[in-house]
Amino acid sequence: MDAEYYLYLLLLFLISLAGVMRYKKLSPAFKTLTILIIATFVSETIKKIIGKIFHNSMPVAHLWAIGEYAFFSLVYYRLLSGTRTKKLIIASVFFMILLEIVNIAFFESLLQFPAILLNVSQFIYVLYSLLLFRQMLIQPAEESLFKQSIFWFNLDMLLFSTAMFLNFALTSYFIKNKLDATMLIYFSIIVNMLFYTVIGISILIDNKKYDAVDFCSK
Amino acid sequence: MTRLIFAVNSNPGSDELYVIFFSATAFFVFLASFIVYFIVLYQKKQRQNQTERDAMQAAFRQGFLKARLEIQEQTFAHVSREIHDNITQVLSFVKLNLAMIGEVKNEQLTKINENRELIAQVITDLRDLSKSLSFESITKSGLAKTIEAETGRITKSGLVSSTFAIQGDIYPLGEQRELVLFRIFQEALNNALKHADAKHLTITLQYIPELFIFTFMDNGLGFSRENLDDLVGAGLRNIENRASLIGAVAAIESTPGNGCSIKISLNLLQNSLYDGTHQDRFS
Repeated sequence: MDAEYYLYLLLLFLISLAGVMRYKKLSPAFKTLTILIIATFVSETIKKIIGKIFHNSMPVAHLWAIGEYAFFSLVYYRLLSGTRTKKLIIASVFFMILLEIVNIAFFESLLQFPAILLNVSQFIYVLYSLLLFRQMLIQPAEESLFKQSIFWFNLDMLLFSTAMFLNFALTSYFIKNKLDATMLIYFSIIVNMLFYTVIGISILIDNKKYDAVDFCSK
Repeated sequence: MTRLIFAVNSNPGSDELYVIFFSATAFFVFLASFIVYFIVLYQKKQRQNQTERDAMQAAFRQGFLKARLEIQEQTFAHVSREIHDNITQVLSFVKLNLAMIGEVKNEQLTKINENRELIAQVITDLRDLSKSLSFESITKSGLAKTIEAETGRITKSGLVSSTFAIQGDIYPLGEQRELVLFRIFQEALNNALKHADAKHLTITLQYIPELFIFTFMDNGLGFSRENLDDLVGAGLRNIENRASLIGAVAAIESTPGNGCSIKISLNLLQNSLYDGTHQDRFS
């Protein structure tokens, strides 16, 4: 499993590098996304080191689950227009912090996998994604859809969130019924790799001049 | 966003797994359909937006052109009035004053008479210019007569010879259309005299029922579109723009050394921004 993990870290590193190199050309949302990828790379590296030393990296996973949600929310905050939506996005970050506190206190301790938080996050990402698709339909850009970084990013988020949501549900079921979940683990690895690869592509094709949505409101 | 979960290996298989597997497959098929639907819908919206944008741009261009022509007509009318009411009046007064000078030597009298003749010539030229600038002659006399008079004036000046022909029974095209066509004629005339060094002009007005064709040909230097200077190019674009404003089509043909032919075809059944029934008029 180590080889896959290092490959995963290498992928994150390469995407971070691409993001840093194109940073000035990126739109505000994709600048935030680049910072998120760099933070993910750092967090995953720390997680690996802590896991090696203490044999449990879940405290980092708990912390990063909140951090990651905040970052993705900020990305969508910059992509979505509408004051009400933006306020709801900010409110959701506070809600997730509260949920994490309750989760640690009553359901999943710091040494357990933060499944509840991640499941709720993925559900909200699906909502974000659908909202952004709706906005794209209302304000279509002149540029071809397939050349729009926002389309690839949003599609990636939708597919990843739904796939991982399903994966979590299946994994829980498999564990509960004491079934072999190896396939699901590999599925999860492949989905992760694809997710970050598509994010990398969207960072590479993003250009602040040709964004699909109006950024004036930000 | 790592989700690398390490599960326990245990009892294999369960009937429920098939249900889960098919549910998951159905869900992903639904998701894929949603994405395809989104792409199709988005592209449709893009096309719609493009069509709307093109229509808006065309309307804006037409509106802009209309405003520009209105301003131009107002300026022409103002200059025409100034020439007619002010300059020619003053010149007439000068001519009268010269006539009233008494007790002069024969030599001086000859000079005075020469000057009076020159002033009379200037007055006539200015009146002609005033008429050509004003839309009133179009309103009063109609397009055919105005073009005929203008052609006659140019021929009389000795600059060029001309052939003028009217085919078919003359019918009114509408005040604004006739004014725009007259301005096209003036632009073509200006190009022929100033840039083409033409010696002969052929002007034809064809009044076919529901179709009017105006043809202006010169035997000047001719040109190829690629080698046109900005001034002539702008003049030709002006002709095309004006024609499109009244719903006409301008066909400009020329080759170096073979003169130029400008043909304006106006289909009277076609609606345009400046149709003949439009109530408001330039200036």
